[in-house]
Amino acid sequence: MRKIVITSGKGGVGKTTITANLGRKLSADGYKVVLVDGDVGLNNLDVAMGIENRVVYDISDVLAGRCRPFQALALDVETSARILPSSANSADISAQAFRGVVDSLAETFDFVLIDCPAGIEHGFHRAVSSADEAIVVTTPSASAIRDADKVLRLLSTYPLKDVALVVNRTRADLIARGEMLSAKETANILHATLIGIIPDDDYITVFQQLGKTADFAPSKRAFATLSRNVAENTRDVEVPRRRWWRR
Amino acid sequence: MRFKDKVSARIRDMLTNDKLGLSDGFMTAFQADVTHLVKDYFDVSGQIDVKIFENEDGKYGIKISALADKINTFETTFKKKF
Ligand SMILES: Nc1ncnc2c1ncn2[C@@H]1O[C@H](COP(=O)(O)OP(=O)(O)O)[C@@H](O)[C@H]1O
Ligand SMILES: [Mg+2]
Repeated sequence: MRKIVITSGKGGVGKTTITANLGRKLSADGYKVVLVDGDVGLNNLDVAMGIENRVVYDISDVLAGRCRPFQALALDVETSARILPSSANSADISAQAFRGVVDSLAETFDFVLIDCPAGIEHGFHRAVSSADEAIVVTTPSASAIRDADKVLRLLSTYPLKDVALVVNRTRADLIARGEMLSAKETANILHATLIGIIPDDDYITVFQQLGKTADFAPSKRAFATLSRNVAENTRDVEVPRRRWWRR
Repeated sequence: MRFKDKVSARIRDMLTNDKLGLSDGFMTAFQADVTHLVKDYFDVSGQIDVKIFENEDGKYGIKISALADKINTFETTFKKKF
């Protein structure tokens, strides 16, 4: 039903990570979720979801008529979320065709999350024009904020129902010392609606290597809050606290 | 100024510049026009400072500051008699 693109402008700020974790949490909460890899050139959603060895078909097979959309979906290793992978063959798919696939998935799933490529070229247009809503991801760094600002301006030219902001990789210690902008300050600068604050969390990177999410990761709570805000259209962000202990 | 306030001010300036293309053309043209205009009305001493910034609510602030030795009077600035 809902078609949400996760985008950022800058690469490496956490689009794929947020798509994967948000998708898993929504799925764990009982929603029917499909994640679409719109980052065709540098596809790595399959790696983040631990399904790289299970991929049989991808979106280009669907469009070439080699399989039906549902046959191409891979099952997440942890939840019942599905993933529609992409491959290098998917590079020239038109925005129109991509949108058609997303629309057909949206008939069955509660959430279609589209992992957008970096940059603002064709792949960006293809991913954004197939969605109704956008989540812009940034980190609190100057260069990421600058790219997020460009993307927000660009998104305002698309007929999206909602555009919201997630600030990723915040560090409570640096923020407390006044050495990093807080997520709220970042959102203020961008005049954007904040729906999630994800702390910098080493376990994200460590477990991503296995295609998994750590159950005890400090970021777990932050993803739960983000997921609730997305599912219920609320904006109750919670500032991650510094953790003094590790389990 | 706290470190992060400096960072925040820098980013805000950067975003404003990005939007207006201030880096080259815009600012030079605006500065030249403003200087021209202000000098018609005042005998300006020194540099005329022009600054554009974005504030909290997304509006642009435009600050023009200059010092003048004298106010120039000419026809159109005389008070009209009714
Ligand atoms: N909150 C976080 N804490 C720590 N590492 C993170 C966090 N978010 C993302 N990363 C790491 O940053 C890298 C880039 O993230 P990724 O999601 O692939 O970015 P993008 O899809 O925007 O290019 C990955 O190695 C990922 O594990
Ligand atoms: Mg990515």
